Order: sequence, then structure tokens, then C-alpha cells
Amino acid sequence: MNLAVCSQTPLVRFLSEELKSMDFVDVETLVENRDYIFSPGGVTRMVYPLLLHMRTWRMVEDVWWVSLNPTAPLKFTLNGIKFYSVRVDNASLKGYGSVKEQMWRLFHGAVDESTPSLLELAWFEDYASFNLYNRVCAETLSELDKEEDFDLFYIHDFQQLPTGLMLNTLKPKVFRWHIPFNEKIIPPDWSPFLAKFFNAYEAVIVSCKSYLESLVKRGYRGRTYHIYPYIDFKEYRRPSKAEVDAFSEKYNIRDDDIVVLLVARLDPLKGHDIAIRALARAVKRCPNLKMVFVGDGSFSSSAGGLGLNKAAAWQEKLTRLAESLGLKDRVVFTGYLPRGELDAAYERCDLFILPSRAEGFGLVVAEAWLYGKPVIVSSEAGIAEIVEDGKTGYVVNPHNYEEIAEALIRLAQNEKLRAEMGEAGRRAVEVLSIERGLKEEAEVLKDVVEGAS
Amino acid sequence: MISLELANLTDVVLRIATLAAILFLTFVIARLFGAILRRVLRPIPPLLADQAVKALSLFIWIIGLLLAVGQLGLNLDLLMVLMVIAGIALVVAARDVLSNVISKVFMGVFVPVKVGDYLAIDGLSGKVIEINYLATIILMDDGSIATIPNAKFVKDVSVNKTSIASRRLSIPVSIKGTVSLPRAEAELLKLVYKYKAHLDQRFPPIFTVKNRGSSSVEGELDLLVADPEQRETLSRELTVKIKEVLDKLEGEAV
Repeated sequence: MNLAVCSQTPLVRFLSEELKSMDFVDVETLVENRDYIFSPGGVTRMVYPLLLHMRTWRMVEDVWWVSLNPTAPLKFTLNGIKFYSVRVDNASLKGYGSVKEQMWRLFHGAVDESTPSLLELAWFEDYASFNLYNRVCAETLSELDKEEDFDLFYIHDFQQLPTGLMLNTLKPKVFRWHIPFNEKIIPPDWSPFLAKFFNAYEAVIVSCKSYLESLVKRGYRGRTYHIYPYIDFKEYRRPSKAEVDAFSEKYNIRDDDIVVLLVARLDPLKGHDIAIRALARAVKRCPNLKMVFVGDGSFSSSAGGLGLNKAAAWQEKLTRLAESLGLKDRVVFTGYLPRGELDAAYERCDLFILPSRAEGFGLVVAEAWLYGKPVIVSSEAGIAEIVEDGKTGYVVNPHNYEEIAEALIRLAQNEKLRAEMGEAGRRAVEVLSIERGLKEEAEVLKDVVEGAS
Repeated sequence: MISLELANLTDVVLRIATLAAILFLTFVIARLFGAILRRVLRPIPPLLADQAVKALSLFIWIIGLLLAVGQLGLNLDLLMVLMVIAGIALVVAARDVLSNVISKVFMGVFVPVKVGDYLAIDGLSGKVIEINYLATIILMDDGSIATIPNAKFVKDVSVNKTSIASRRLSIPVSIKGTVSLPRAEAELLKLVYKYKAHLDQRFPPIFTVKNRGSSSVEGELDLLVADPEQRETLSRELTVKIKEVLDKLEGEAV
């Protein structure tokens, strides 16, 4: 099977100016962290191992992955996967980014009175740029299809929803929706507009069971599937003591600190401020609690991505909040961490927190479980669906600081509880393995390609 | 003897030069009249305008070629008579086919029918599942299909029972291969946004590619007007504006 994949976020971001102007690069000849870095974030973290496994098990022959990568070589390869970098002019990129950010907020329910609805947004001049980006992706995929004769188009994430309709082919198309799709947030009058795009796909995959019904209620008539996101456990290695010590030293973490880790991009929806406010309450009873925030902006919101640098502004706000609550020395921002340091952060932490106001899934919780850490998870995160409250972690209301503080204190004061909960998490994470994901994805793709009823 | 051969040679060269001049003039006239006709036909759908320009160009070339062949000293009378007879025979033989093909061009713009609509015509009713160059295929309630010649939609009364049919507006758009499709689409959307007040804002405009030729992309801009009475006026105005936008983009591309 020849497969075409399309996602906005590119797997690889190039650091060297020289590479950006090249037409073709073999990434395996380059050095990670010097010439390139892997994009953080759930989508690429999930899709890349999936494609590697599909190639290993000969489920696919050729794979092309098309994504927005304005500062990358036009084409590059990595581990047998071929990549095509979509480029659009700066003005269109800005317009696209603005609409995409607003859409992301809308589907996460992060709106206020000034936020336009999806239908209002689709009349903004910037929406023409959002449309343009999708058309460029569709045109790129169509051109590649002439040479590669793909068997299937697999399109990822909400920004790319219009791409399927624009592809203008009856070849099978599958769409994976990675963020929340909640009928309570998506009003019925958006249905005709959304359904027009969704119905261009033979199948739609969502991350949580509850999104399936919402999808049908909002007008999708094709096949719907639910597959939990997944990660390749082999990618997560246990760091040496020296690496963990180096990490602790770098971020001024003492041996007796109880480290609470939050790995998420710097965005208000991720609830860093909620974690700080809960910490302010918990630290009164557990003064050695220390919160470590790992991550910078997303591909869109970081300076190195699309340049919509809202991450820096959010960090500034959080720093001021921590200072005002007397937590200046209790909160650490590490920014982006390369793989080795991230492993050390997971290993060193005592517990993990994900207090998101809204979260499509939250694979970072699975990562914490892999390291045997207990978790405190927002009830608004998709992964809360598989957290057994009190056994594999605590599910908390992100708007209730007291409840979160209580969970922090309970875990901080009880080492045995942390160990038991961490061990239970290590068992629970099996459901999020790449092996299970691969099996389920393969079944869906087979259904779609073979046209099963 | 030599002067006679020289005179013959001069005559041949002169005839060839005249023939070349006629062909060149035919080319210039065909282009010129094509451009004028295209400008005159701006308010009508581009597909229809293209067909008219092609027909005019063909007519001019036939006249030009006949005149050119005449320069070679051939008797054209018989050729002309044969061509006229063949033309009449072709039109008579294909009149039904032609009327259906021409009707197809009008459908969607002047006769509001699209795939997916539920309609009734000539005592038949059902869902439209296909509109091809000859006929419109209707899937009837009992599962059987009815094939309605397109010309019937122009001649007879049809009832479109789809709730939004009276307000739906599909404008055919032809984008030259020299123009970037993503850019043209973005500019067309921006143009439509200016008419927002007259459109149903619950249905933002969507551009769909229908056919991809070697020299152009044929597409359709789908809108929903707020007031059905403004549908035709808006269609006419937008068609002209769209042509202006595309002409400008073509000019920039050149």
C-alpha cells in the first residue's frame, strides 16, 4: 500500500540556515539537536512510530508525509519515510495561523464574548488564507499522487479538515481528529459547514469514545472509529543516575524536593496557572513541593515555528503569578527539553500533573505512567476516560484549586501511595501501546481501503 | 521560354505569399474577435462564453481556410455545397444531443438543480444522483432510476423540493493554468466576503474543483443568498467581478 499522510505539524524542524535552502536532504546524515530537532507534541509523536511500525511489518510500501514546514528543505527522508515541505507566503501564513488558533480555542471551548463563532470566523479575510493553506496541501498531495498512485490518504488534525474535500478524488481518505469534539461545545448550527468537510472522508477516527456520538450528531455520515492515542514504549529509556543528577543540578532541584512535573506547551488552556494556584495552597502543608514546567510553544506558537509567539507572553504571566504567590523558588520553567533531559525529568519527578482546561487526549500522562509516576489529571482531558480515580491517578476538576491541592498533598505526604499508584499506572499504560494502536489502525485502514460495509 | 517559367514561378510565389497572408490574417481576426466576444459575454457563465468563443473561432478559421484554398486555384463551389450539406446533416442528426448538452450548461445557474436535490418533473420525483452532459439521473423512491434529458429542464416545468434550492447559488469558475489555484481561490473568497450582507452567513462560501483540464481548472463557487429575489442579480454581478479578479491574476501571471 502506498500511503500519503498530511499533518500541519512537521516531524522535523531544521536548525541550520544552509539546510533550509536545499531541495533534498537525507536526515540520517545530519546530527539531532545541531541540524534538526523533532517537533514536540502528540500528533507527530504518535504518527511517526506508527509509520515506522507499518513499514517494519510491511503494511505499507511507500509513505509520503506532507506538512507545513516553511523553513525546511523541499523534500527529505528519514528512516525510509519521504517528507514534503509545504511552503506558503508569509502574509498567508500569518492569516492561516490566526484562524487556526481561534479554531483551536473554539473546539476546546476556550471562548469569551469577543471570540467569533466558527461560522463568523469563516467570513474573516484571514479565513481565505486558512483555505489557501489547505488548498496548497491538497494540490501537493494530488501532484504526488500522479507519481506515487497512493492507495490511501490519511489526514491528521483539525487544521487540515478541508484538505480532504479539496483533494477531489474518490480514493479512500481517512481523517484523524486529535482534539476534543464535544457536542456541548459545538453548536448544531455549525453542522452543515462542518459536515460538508467531514463527509469528504470515508472514515473519521477520534481519540475518545464520547466524541463518536458528537460526530454523528453534527452530521457526519461515514464510518466512525475510536482509537486511543499510543506511544512506542521502546522510545522511553531509563536515564542513568548521572543524567538525573545533572538535570537536578541544572534546574536547582534538591534531593528532598517533592517534584511535580507538568509537560505541556506553554498555553493558557494547559492550566499552568491552575497548577501554580493549587501549589500555593499545598505548599503550606508540604513546603518542599517544587513544580517543574517542561515545554515551550507549539509549532504555531513558538518563535521557531510559525512565529505566533504567545508562549513567551504566557510564561511571563505565570512567572508574575508565581512571584505574587511567593512561589518564585518553587516553580521552574525548563522550556523545550531534548529527549535525554525529558527522560531525566520524568525519572526525577515524584508525581505528574495535567490540569488542562481542555485537552484532546493527553499522552504525557501515559509517558509519566511509563516511568511509574502517579498522576493528577484534569477531568477535561480525554485520557481521564482511562484513569481509574484513586487507583492509577486522581481525576480532578481543573476549576477547583482546593481539590487539586488536596491531591497534591495526599501524594506528596505518602511515598507508599505514590509507589502503588505509579505501579498501577505502569500496568494501565499498556492500553496505549503502539502495538495495540498499530493493530487497531491497521484494521481501520484495511476496512477503508477494501470498502468494508 | 525562360521568361514564361519566370512568370509562372512569380505567380506561384505570389499565391503562396497570399495564402500565408490569409492564414495570418485569419489567425489575427480569430484572436481579435474572440477577445471582443469574451468581453461582451462577461455576464454569462464562463463555460458558456468559452464555448461561444470557440465556435466563433472555428467559423472564422473555416472561412479563412476556404479563402486560402481558393488561392491555390481549386474550385470551391462543390466543396462549399458539401460542407453546408454535411453541417446541416450533423445539426439535424445531433439536434437532440446538442440541446441536452447546451441545457446542461444552463443547469445549476439558470435552472437551480444540483446533485443531491429532491425534485419532481414530468410526473416523476426523486433524488438527483447524477447530472451528465445528456441527462439528469433521478433515484426514485421505489429504488428505480429515471433518466431525464437535460433539455426537458429548459422546456418543461420542474419542481425542486430541496429547501435551500431557491437561495442556492453555484457560480461556475474557470481558472487558467497559468494562475495559481490556491491564490485565485483565496482572492475569490475575499471577493465574496464583500457581499456578506446579501448572503446567508450560516453557509460560508465554498469553492469546489469540478474538472482539471490541461490548460485550466473548472470549479464552482457555492453560496447561499439571503433573499431568493436577489439570487439572479447577485449571480450576474458576482460573475462579472469574478471575471475581473481572474483577468487581473492572469495579467499578473503573464
